[in-house]
Amino acid sequence: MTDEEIIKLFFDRSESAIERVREQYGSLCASVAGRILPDKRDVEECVGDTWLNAWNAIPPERPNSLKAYLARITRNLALDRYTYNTAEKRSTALTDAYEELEEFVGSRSDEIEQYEDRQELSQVLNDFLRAQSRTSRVIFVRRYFYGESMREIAPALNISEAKVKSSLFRTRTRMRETLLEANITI
Amino acid sequence: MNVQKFIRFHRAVDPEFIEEAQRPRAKRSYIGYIGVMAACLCVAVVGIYLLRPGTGKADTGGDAARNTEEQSVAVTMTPNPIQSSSLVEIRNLGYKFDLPAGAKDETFTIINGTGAIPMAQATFSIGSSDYTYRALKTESFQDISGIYNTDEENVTWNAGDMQLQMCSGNYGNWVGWYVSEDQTQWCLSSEDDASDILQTASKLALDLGHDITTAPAGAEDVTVNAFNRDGAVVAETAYTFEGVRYVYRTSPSDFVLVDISDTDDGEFANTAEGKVAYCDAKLAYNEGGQGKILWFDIVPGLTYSLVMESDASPEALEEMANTIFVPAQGDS
Repeated sequence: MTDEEIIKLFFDRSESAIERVREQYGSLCASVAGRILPDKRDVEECVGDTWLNAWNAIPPERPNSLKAYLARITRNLALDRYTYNTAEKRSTALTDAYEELEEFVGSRSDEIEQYEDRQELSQVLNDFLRAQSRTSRVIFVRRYFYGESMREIAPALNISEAKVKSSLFRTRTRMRETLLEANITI
Repeated sequence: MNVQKFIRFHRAVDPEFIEEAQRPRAKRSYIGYIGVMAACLCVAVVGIYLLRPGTGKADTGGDAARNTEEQSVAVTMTPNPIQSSSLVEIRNLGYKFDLPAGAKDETFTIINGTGAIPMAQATFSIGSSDYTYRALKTESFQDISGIYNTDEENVTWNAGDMQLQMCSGNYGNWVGWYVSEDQTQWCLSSEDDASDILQTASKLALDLGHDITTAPAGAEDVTVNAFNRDGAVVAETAYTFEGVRYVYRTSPSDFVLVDISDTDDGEFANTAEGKVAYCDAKLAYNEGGQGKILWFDIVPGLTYSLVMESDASPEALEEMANTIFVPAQGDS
C-alpha cells in the first residue's frame, strides 16, 4: 500500500490506517526509538504513541513522506522520554554516536556552559547542515541524529561503508571549523 | 556524557533535516535510472527492515528488538482510537470536565491510548476562536496536545502544586497543566493567540477549582498574558495586592539571568542584591516608587522578574517574590 493510500485512510478516519502504518513502518519506528531509549518498554510505548499522534495529526496534516514523518514523530517522542529518564543514563546507539561527535568536535566540553543563546546554536548548526550536499547531510543526520551505524547507512543510501566513513570524517571536520568560527564549542 | 548538552544538541537540529534523512531521494529525469535506483532503494530498505533486529547493538540485540516489535503490535492492535462521546460519558470516566460559558459548537470525544482510562476531548468555539480541550489521567505531566510543531517555543512554570507548560508554535499554541491531586493532565490548544489561550485556560482551570495564575491569595484584578520576547515565550501574571500593582513574568533562559521586565535600569536610583528561595536576585528600585527584582533558577533554566509599580523597597520586593515563587523542581 502506498503512502498516499494510507494517508487517504487517515483522512477517511478508517481504523485500518493504524494497522497499515504499523505493518509498514512499525519496524522502522521501533528501530528509531530503540536507538535512543535503553528500555524496551519505553520503545514500545513510544511506537504506540507514534500511531496515536499520527492519528491525531492527520488530518489536517498531509505528510509528503509518511515514513519520514513517522520517523520524526518517533524520534521526538523518544527524545522527550529520554529527557525524563536521564537518571538511568544507560548507553544507547544515539548516545554512543553523540559521544563520538562530542569527542571529535572539541575537548573543551564545559564551555557550553558559557553558551548563552541556544537559538544561535540552532541557527549555526542548521545553516551548516544546509550548506552541505544532500548526501553528506543525510549521512551525517542518520549517524548523529538517528544513531544509525555506518553499516546501516551504507546500504540505505546505496554507497559503500568506506564512503560513509570518509563523508562523516569530512563533515565533522567542516562542522568543527564552522562552530569554532562562530565561537561555539559543543 | 552530559545529558543536558546531548538533549540541547538534538533539539537544535531543524526537523526538515530529520525528515529528509528518512525520505527517499527525489525522482530524476531518466526513467530507466529511476527504476534501477528505486529497485536498489527498495532492496536496501527491505534489507534493513529484515536485518535490523540482528544487526543492532548488544544492548538492543535481536531478541530484544523482536520482542519490542511484538509488544508494540500488541499495543497498537486497537480499533479506531477516537470515539464520539458526550459530556456525561466523559464525567463518568472521572473527569471533572466542563466548558466555559459562551462555548458553542461543542463536540465530545474519547481517545483510547495506552492508559487505563482514555483521554477525554472536547472541541468548542468562543466567538471566532476554535479550541480543543483535553484531559488525561496520568501519573506525571505530559504533552497531550497532539500538536507537532516543527518550530516552537515553550515555557514551564509552577502555580501552587500544579505544573504548567505553554507552547507556541507554527501549527498551534497550547497550555497544559497537571494537577497532581487528582492525577489529571489538562490541555487547551488553539490556533489563536497564545495570550487568548492562556486566559481561556485560566478560566477553565478556575472553574475546576485550580488557579493556574501565580498571584497570591487575596490578589485582585488578576490577568494572565503570554507573548514572545526575543524568540522566547514569556508567561505573565499581573495583579493588585493591597493597593499595589505587580507584574510577574517567567521565561526560559540558558544559564544566565535575563531581564525580562521590560523596564529601563536608568529609571531606578538604587540597586541591591537579594535572595528568592535559593536563587540569587538582583534588585533595582526607587524607594517608595517603582521597583523590580530579577532572579534565575538554573535547574529548569527559567528566568523571573517581578515589578512593583509603587511602594517599592528591597524588603517588599523580596517578600512578594518569595511569596509567589514556586520552584519548578520543588523546594529543594
